[in-house]
Amino acid sequence: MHPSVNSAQNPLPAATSRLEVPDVVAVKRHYGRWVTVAILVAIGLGAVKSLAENPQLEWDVVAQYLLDGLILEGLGQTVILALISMIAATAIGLIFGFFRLSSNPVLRTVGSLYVWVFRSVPALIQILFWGNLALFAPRLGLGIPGTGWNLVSAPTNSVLSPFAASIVALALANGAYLAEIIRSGLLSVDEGQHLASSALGLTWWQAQRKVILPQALRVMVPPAGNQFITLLKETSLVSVIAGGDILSKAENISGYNLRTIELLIVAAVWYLLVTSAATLGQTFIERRTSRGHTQQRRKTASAEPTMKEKEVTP
Amino acid sequence: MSSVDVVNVHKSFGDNEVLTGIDMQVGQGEVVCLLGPSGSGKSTLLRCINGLVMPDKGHVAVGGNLIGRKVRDGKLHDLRGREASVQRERMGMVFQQFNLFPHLDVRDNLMLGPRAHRLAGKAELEEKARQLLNKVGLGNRADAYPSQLSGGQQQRVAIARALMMEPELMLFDEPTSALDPELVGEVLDTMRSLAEEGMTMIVVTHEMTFARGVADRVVFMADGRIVEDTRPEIFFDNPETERARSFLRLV
Repeated sequence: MHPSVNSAQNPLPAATSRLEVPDVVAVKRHYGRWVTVAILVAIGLGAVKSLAENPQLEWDVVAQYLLDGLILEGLGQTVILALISMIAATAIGLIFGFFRLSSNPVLRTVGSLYVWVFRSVPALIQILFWGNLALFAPRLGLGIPGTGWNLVSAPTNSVLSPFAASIVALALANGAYLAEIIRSGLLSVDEGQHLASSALGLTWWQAQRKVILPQALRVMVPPAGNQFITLLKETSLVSVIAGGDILSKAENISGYNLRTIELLIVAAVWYLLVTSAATLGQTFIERRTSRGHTQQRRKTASAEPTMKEKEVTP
Repeated sequence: MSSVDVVNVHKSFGDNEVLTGIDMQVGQGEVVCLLGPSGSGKSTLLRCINGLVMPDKGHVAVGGNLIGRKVRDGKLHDLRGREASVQRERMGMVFQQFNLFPHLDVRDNLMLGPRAHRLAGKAELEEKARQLLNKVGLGNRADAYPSQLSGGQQQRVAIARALMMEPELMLFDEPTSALDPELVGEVLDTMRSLAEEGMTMIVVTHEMTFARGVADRVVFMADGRIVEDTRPEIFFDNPETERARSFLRLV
């Protein structure tokens, strides 16, 4: 092997033989990117043009129905359905998420069974099931099975309207996913936090509420937000039981004016807008829950306040 | 309540026997250092004392109260969650990894425990938090989050957090083992001044200088049992057992 030029035996070359190096770094030119953008713009314009000029698509019909009373009513139902189902699913997920982490084997098994069943059966089947409950359970009531004794009882269809059935189905189906999201969030909190809470004499519930859940939230919010967006779109499935959502209304309208594609575009535009709003909301909540992890939120306190405090109480 | 009585405590985790019959007493105002090689059961013993870990056999009493259990019909029954929590109120614990609450600032870290137990009003507790932070030399960091503090500062906050509960007994589980060497001194100084104030302390540590200088007694553990229990000068200068001598040669 040749000895290295810079090794101890060979002193550095004299300054006269140093490289002539300019100080300026050349700006990188990304020609490939410009070409790609040009191609994509061409494809995009072509798609827009073919959609805009398509004689089968009447855009004034889309514009006409975008703010139609029935469509807006359906939009409201969709948003309400998504919000109520999400709240109920979170409550269900919280209970079963804790069940799955319980030291009690009965609760653990119940939690696993729930997640297994409701995550495995497609949401569409669950919606059809709850929407058609009256077919095999004509009356709903509270009582003791096998004794014939009933506290209250009412016809299924009067208790479980399509809207109520939609909420039950969506809440139970999404609750299974939220249980898993909540469980993984709870598991992400360091074991030392449980120890420190116990050592301070906090009860189990105090520790969960004040220490564990606030930290788990940071981990839970991104997947839960994702789940909410999935749920928002999943509400469209309730159109199969005439759940009154925006897609049901759009289908009702296209049922008599036969503008199927136009009304699907109307619904799609609204889903796009509502989902965008939900994404913004998620970003906002993520910022709120990362307290203590983003250091720039509160500037490091200077020594001055203490000096003032000391003057007040010597 | 601060006299500690550990009687014939056994504890296994699975097949691993961690404590094999521990007997130990700590008097009020005494400072006891628990020394020994890792895996000798020191931390487990500490956790048995405040009921974070329940012994398989034997019992722990603090101030005459059985910890974590009660006697009914001649048998030991585990306390319910709330009763066990109330017992831990008066025992402060400091951990190797600090275990501050990262989502709360320093002031709220201190206030969480006493607020949960409604020990006093908010204003009174804020004043007390301020005093304790001054005492550990961090009066100007009440608004900081744990992630903004050095390890030594975090550990001093953890000590202040434990003191907020007005404990009559302080348990330290290797409080300086996770610290950079130049930060160890500030934590040991805080502990030394606490000892001088007459706090009853049980300290699991590898800081031999601290043990020799501050402890009233040294308890040396190996393989789940107590090998020596004596005054620090006797333990360090003239240990009775070969096990202690070989340990001291290595540290």
